[in-house]
Amino acid sequence: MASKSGITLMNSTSSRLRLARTFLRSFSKIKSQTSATTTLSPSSPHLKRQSRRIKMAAYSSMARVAGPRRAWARALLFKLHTRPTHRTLMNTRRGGSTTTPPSSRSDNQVGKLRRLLPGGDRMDVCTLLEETANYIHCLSTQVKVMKAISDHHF
Amino acid sequence: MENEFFLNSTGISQSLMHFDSNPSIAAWHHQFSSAMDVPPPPQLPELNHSSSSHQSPPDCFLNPVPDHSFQFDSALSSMVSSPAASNSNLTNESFVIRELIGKLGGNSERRILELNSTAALTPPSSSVAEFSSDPGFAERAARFSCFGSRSFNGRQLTNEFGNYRSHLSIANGKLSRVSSSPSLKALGSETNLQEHKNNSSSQEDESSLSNPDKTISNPRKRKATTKPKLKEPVVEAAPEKGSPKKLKAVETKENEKGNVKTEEDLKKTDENLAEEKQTKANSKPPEAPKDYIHVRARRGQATDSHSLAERVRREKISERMKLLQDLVPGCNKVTGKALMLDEIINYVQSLQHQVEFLSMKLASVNTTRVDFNMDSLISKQMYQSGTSLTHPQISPIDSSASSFYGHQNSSLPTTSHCSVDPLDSVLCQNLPIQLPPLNSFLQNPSQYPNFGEDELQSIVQMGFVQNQTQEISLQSHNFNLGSDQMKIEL
Repeated sequence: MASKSGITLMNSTSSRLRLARTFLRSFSKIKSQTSATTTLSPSSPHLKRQSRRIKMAAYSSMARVAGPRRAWARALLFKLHTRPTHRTLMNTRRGGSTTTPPSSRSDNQVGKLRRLLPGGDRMDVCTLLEETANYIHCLSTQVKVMKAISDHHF
Repeated sequence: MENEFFLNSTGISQSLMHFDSNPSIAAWHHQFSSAMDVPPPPQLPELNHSSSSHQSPPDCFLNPVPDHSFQFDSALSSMVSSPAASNSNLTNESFVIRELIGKLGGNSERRILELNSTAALTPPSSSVAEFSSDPGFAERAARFSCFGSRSFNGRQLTNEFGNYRSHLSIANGKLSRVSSSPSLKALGSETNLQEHKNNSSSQEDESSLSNPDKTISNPRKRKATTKPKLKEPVVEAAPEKGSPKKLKAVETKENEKGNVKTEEDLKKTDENLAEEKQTKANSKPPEAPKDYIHVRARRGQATDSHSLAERVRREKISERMKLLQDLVPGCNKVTGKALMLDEIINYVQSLQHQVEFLSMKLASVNTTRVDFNMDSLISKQMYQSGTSLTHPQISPIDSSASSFYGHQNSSLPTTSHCSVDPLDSVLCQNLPIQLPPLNSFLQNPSQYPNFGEDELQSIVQMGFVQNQTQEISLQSHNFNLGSDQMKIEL
């Protein structure tokens, strides 16, 4: 991982920087809001909600940094934006979409990958693999950024 | 019989030219002139329309002003020129030239007579220097038409006219399709190597093709003709499609002409093809390598459009897989697409879990400190991401720890103070001793029940760095269960 991540880092220091900046902005916003409303209650529901918010912030910052040209970023942003308002609708749609492509079911590995990648159920295999590569790149960058933040804070 | 005719077409065409000698020409000429003298009946515009509906301007590169009678003129001129052509060595050159002149000239048979006289006398002059490569093209054209018609033998029999003319007109109409058909491509791909030679020595090829009995050079020639056709269908389609239409139209008008006219038409199609050939050959050499870059089929591979597309798709997929192989850490050792996909899926899943886990961890961060540190952290993040590569690996941790830790630590000491270095040396010494108890204490926090390997590593990393920061800034944390343990061990 280290050598590969070093390579990707070399390729995309600017994207990593942007990712860190956007994520930190949203993260600080979340933190300030929660600190304003509830003062340090380590109860599990609150923690869970906040962690979900942070996760959404992380994904949305990833998608925003990746830009609208990436299909996974578009799908992810769409999902994140529509989820709080139409949760039941999204759930039904997601269930429908997983059942609709039976061909991806038969091809087991590709089907799994489709389910992992946001918006992957509407792609052909070529674009799926390409988007997966980009998604992995962004995700690993995001993980690094989050790790650095958490390491700094603890 | 027909096959024979089409195989050595050049000889036959020559013989047809001979056969086409004076009396029949005179008869035909008479009839045709009578038909021409009549002011153009309402059928003629119809003819033009029928021809121009399939091509934008009929013979536009030859005749800028489309005339009602130029079709007949061309036929006439070809007919008139045929005896002279059969006699002389410069046959095809001269009669294509004459045909062109006839087309350019407007309407009357007087002009044709002039042409006749000039045709008998004129050697190829400087004004027709562009047609200097004509004989070869005429021969090739004849062969090409033969090739086309040979594949449509079944259709010829059902044709209502049942003579060579209709026959050839069908062949002409189908030429473009035939040339782009997969069987031809396959032939071409088989003779790929020969074809390069052919392009280099196209002039020789033409000269050799003028011998009617050389059937060996057939595939080569087919190859050479298919290529430019794919490139410029617009230029060629006009005369190609136009000629059979015209011929049929003329035929329906003067159906009673019979045999004499069939040979006229034969020759005419030959000439048209010769012109097409010429236009093709002018653009042949630069276009030759392009086609083979785009659509490449090796020996023994299928050349359908479907299988070609499928091959392109597979190449794309394997390319993407290579890219992913570089990106996913454990993928280099794995062979096989399915296993690689497994690796990729596992990696994506682990990354997603990591994001989830880290978000949980970040949610549990002390909020007051977050607000306090945010501005400095942004700058430090920038600093980290900017310099973590160029920054020399500060601590001796990297030498002892694995490369993973080394990478993580290379960015982290930059965020902390300068006093890390002695500590790092201490840590470095204690690292092998330290790791087992770290793993043991990692079981304690019950918040994160399911750990993957990556998460374990990250937690190890976290505890590690926690220790550093604690030693430095002497801060206490709520969630750091193992910090005391670590300190004790240190």
